[in-house]
Amino acid sequence: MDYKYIEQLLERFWQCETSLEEEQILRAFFQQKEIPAHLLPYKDLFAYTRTAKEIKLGDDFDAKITARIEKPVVKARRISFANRLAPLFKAVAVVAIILSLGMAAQHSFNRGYDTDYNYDAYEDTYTDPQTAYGEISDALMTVSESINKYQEQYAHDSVTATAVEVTAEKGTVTPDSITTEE
Amino acid sequence: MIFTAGMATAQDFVSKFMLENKEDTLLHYISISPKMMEEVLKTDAENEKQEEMRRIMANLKSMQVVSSKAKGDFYFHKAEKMVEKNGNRFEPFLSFDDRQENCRIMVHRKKGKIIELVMLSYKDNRFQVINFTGNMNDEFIDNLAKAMIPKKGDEN
Amino acid sequence: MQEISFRNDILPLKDKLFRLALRITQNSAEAEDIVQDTMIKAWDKRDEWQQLESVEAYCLTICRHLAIDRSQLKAAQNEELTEATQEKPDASNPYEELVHEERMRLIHRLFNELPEKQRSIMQLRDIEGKSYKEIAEILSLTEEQVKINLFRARQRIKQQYTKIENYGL
Repeated sequence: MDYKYIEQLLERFWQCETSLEEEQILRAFFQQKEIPAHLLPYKDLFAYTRTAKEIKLGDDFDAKITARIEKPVVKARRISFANRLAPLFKAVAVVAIILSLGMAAQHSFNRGYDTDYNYDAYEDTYTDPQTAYGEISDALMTVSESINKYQEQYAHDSVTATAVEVTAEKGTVTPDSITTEE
Repeated sequence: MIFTAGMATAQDFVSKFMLENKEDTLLHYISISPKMMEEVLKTDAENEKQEEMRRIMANLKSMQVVSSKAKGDFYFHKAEKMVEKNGNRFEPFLSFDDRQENCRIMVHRKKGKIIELVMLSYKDNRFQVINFTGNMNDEFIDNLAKAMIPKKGDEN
Repeated sequence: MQEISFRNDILPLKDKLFRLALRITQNSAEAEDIVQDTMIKAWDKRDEWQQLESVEAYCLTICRHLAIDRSQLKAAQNEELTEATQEKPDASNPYEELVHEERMRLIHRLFNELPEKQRSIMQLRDIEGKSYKEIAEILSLTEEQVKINLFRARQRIKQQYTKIENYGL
């Protein structure tokens, strides 16, 4: 038998040039019992993709998920959070919920204006400072780019930004602080 | 987690935004707490650029970023509305709209200091809010702007 | 347009979602949690199903994000998600039952050592048989970027595998 076709397919497979149908042909070919020695090493690679597709969830999954969905109060996380609190704090939490909902309804969060931010509620996305550093520095760069873009393209002549006009009215900043490099 | 928000404490822009969109699966949320911010500052700078970055970061207390890769205009307008509703708290710092991008930067000042900086952007149907809190001032913003300008004579 | 239902359209995605979550987290208990959370999220968005181009792609996207978030939370200090985890797979890992042969184990390890993006793309293409277009949509990438990542993943596995095959471990 001539294996040219398969060899070519395989070569194109490594180059990511095969279609899904051609990849199916390869998988079918390597499923055969008789495979020439020079192609034999690849048999397991294709066998692996088949085996890996057999992984399935347990039989009880459907029951679990339907139970969660049929309870309209899906806020499971928040409930379990409240459960962990001592009853006294539970009451406090309820007040907090009502208050924050009230705040949301009013679309205003000015009432907390004078106090510090609620840092206790922050949950860290990253545990690794290096990763966090990368994210912060990306965000800073994005802001920096926007300031520069603004200054280069929109504030040519009226060197100072609109922001300065606004703040100048309020008398809180000196206009010098955000002038461009020009 | 948002419900743990104490009654007397203020909410930053992104926390507020997430409270209103908490079930939204298109939104991707990142948070860096003051504690992590301290950890980040403890790591060693490998070069001058990083050194400079850390000097800028030293003014920050926390960072939160919300982004979406789809429905960018929808979220952008939603966020803009939230800014409008809280106009007495946020002061526009800069804003521009062009064919590629819409961008707004707002600051929240207290006793002359910038304690919160928020940037909204909409670009290629992507939406992003970057929210810093900390102890910033105009010099900080100046340094931040310069951070992206390639230093003349540096490029050999 | 055909009505989309949870039982007919979302629930049958469970194993596919599970395999993707497992590929990313490499922990079956976590992966199962992620599938549940993905479905709950999708369920909460049921008003929007009709507007979606593909419910399946939508669920896979949510699933991947949840899995990445969890992996990042779990990742130990200085251990990036993209780096290979040297830990042994947990005992309850279903792969353990299936992948007995040494070579299969080796392929499994090489696969799981790929960076997350390559791993997810290879999972969706070589195991789930998805088109480049679908994968691009799920990962919010261009088709070209999907191909580049898949190319790197296949090349890496091929090289490592042949190297070990030829010279032994």
